Amino acid sequence: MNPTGTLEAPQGATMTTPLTMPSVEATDLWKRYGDRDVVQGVSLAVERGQMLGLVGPNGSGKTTTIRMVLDIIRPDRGTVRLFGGRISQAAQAKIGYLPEERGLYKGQRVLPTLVYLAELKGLAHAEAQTRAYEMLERVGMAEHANKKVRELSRGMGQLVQFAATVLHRPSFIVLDEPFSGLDPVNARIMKEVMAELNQQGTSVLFSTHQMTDVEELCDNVVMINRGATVLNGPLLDIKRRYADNAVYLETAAPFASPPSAVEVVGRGRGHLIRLRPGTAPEIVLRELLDAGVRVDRYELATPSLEEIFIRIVGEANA
Amino acid sequence: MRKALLIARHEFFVTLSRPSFRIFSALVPVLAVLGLGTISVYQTVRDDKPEEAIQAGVIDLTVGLAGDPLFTSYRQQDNVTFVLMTDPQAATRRLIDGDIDKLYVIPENYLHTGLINEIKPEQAGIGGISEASGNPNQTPLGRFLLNNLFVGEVGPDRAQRVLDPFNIVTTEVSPDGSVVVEDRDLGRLLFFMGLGVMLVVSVFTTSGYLLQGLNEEKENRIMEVLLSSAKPEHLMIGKLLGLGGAGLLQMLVWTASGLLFLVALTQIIEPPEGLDLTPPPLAIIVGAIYFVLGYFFFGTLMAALGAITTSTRESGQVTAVVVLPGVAPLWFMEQMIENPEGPLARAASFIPFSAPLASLVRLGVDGMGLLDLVISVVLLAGSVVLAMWLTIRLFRAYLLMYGQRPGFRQILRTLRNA
Repeated sequence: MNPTGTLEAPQGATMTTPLTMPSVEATDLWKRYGDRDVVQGVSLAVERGQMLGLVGPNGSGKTTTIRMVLDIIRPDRGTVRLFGGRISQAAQAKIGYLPEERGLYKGQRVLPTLVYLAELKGLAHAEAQTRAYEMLERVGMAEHANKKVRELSRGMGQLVQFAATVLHRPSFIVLDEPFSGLDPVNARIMKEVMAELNQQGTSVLFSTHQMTDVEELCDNVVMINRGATVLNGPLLDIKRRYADNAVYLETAAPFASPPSAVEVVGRGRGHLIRLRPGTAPEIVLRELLDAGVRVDRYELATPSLEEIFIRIVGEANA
Repeated sequence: MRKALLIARHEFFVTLSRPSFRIFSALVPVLAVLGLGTISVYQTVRDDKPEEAIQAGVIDLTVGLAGDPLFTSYRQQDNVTFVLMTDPQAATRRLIDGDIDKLYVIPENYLHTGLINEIKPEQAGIGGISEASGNPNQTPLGRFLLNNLFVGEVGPDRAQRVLDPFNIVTTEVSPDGSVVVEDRDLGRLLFFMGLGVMLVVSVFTTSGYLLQGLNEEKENRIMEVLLSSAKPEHLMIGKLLGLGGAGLLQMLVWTASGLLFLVALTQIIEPPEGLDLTPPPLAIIVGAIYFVLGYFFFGTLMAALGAITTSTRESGQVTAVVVLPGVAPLWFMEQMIENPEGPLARAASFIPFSAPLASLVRLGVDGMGLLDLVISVVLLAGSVVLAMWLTIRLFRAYLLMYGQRPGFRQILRTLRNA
């Protein structure tokens, strides 16, 4: 941590990962368990400094995909490139991973556990100790440094494990359902640290089925269902693609339905205006302004990611 | 390799911090100290208590060639003084009064009958004069009688041989006429067998910790974090080295305690004649080789069990598959000692599971040639490599499998496809 109390730049962020090179590039990953293909041709790329949300329902293959990306399990088919090269020990050291199934050595104390895990990531013992303490301070767990892990609450344990994930200042962090089981305060701490790291150039692959978290944090989204990719791209593009040709208007006074509108649904100051097919949103805005309506807020009405998710997954599973 | 060493260091100190490991490791030194203490106290009490002087009255009614009684000399035998008496009534009175502890009446016809009348107070509790424990000739009474019988008849050497007629040395001849050299050095046998038993106990204890640790890591769900930082082979080798180091330390503590115990014991009591308690250098070297190889072999197999089982409880149930063949030589110990070059002993020292214990038993009776030793070590080392190769594949496939144990066919398929 620097004197301002924020996290320092990740290791390798400025020297080994060129700006154009993705932190991870997974292409056409397949994995079969028994007689079931649990991952079917999933591809994803996380550019440097990008936060990618990997979303999908439970059992859709998110965790298996992540494990293949991290070389914890080998794909039956497909390739993974980390920092532009093959998976190596050096590449592994630049990754921080918070798995969905969380756990620490219950009988061991917090600080030595963090130091050990950081040493496995290549930090020298003394440096690991310093950073572990700093990280515990950052997540508000410094007072628990000498407690045994089994003495911590579940949420505290999660924060400690999150600290272990990022204390070696990785260039790329992978978080599998990071906020599940966390109270809002601890979730906020974690999001702040994630945002800090991301601003400093750390790439993030973030798996969840909580769509609001993805909308809050991610630039790009990969959505998988039953092991296959159903959406992949920038979040805004996806939302536009699934927009219902409608606009959202906020105005203080009542107004008449504009000519290009099919339907106006209002509640208080906010109104959803559905447009005739082929009508551009700026035409309706012009009609409203010409009619003397005072517009406080006007934007393209896009569905939430959750609505898109339910629509896609619902259709696919129907 | 750095990661493997880091994991090894971690496992080493985690194992050392386990209360069960500390207690188990301290068991032998504590028992040695307790044993020495007990023996020492017993010796001190025995040494402090002077051997009770016994007065035994003798009424000798025999008549020798010169007309004199036969039993007049050699009256002091150890702590027993044979007091010659003539008047039976006076002698009986002295016995009742406690002036003497026993009274022996040697009748006139003793030379014909060998009968002696022993008279003692009721519940006299006196031992050691005539009680026939072992060779009756070696009791104080026996020596008193024999020495008097031989005085003037034979020289002292012959008299000594009558008292202790033979010390047998057996030589076996093989069917081809050559002499079979029997070299059953008891000290050597004890040392190798002790080493073998300690080795087996230590190997199974530490490899058991490995299995327990793996299951705990699976149950704690920390395994996935470890696998994102280290390759399965680093994890396995690190664990084997760390726990092996702890096991070796345990063995060193036990062996050192055992040796110190023996050294201290020889200071307290005289070791039996011919029992050489100096550990043969070969035992140290071969013991170390078998410990390292045996540990890596069993440890790797335990790691494989840890990978494919889903809980500590489940793994505990299947360890018998590995442990039973490992301790099987104990069941055939007698046969192997009797016939160390026989097919059973040789086979047991070539089969990797039983090789460590069986080979040490054979070496203990000097029944294992250099060729057999080399074959045994090479086979065991080869099995270690093979076991590690297979276990790394199981690690990769099953370490993250929670809640369901793979079937035998699935394991075979994994090993085949790896």
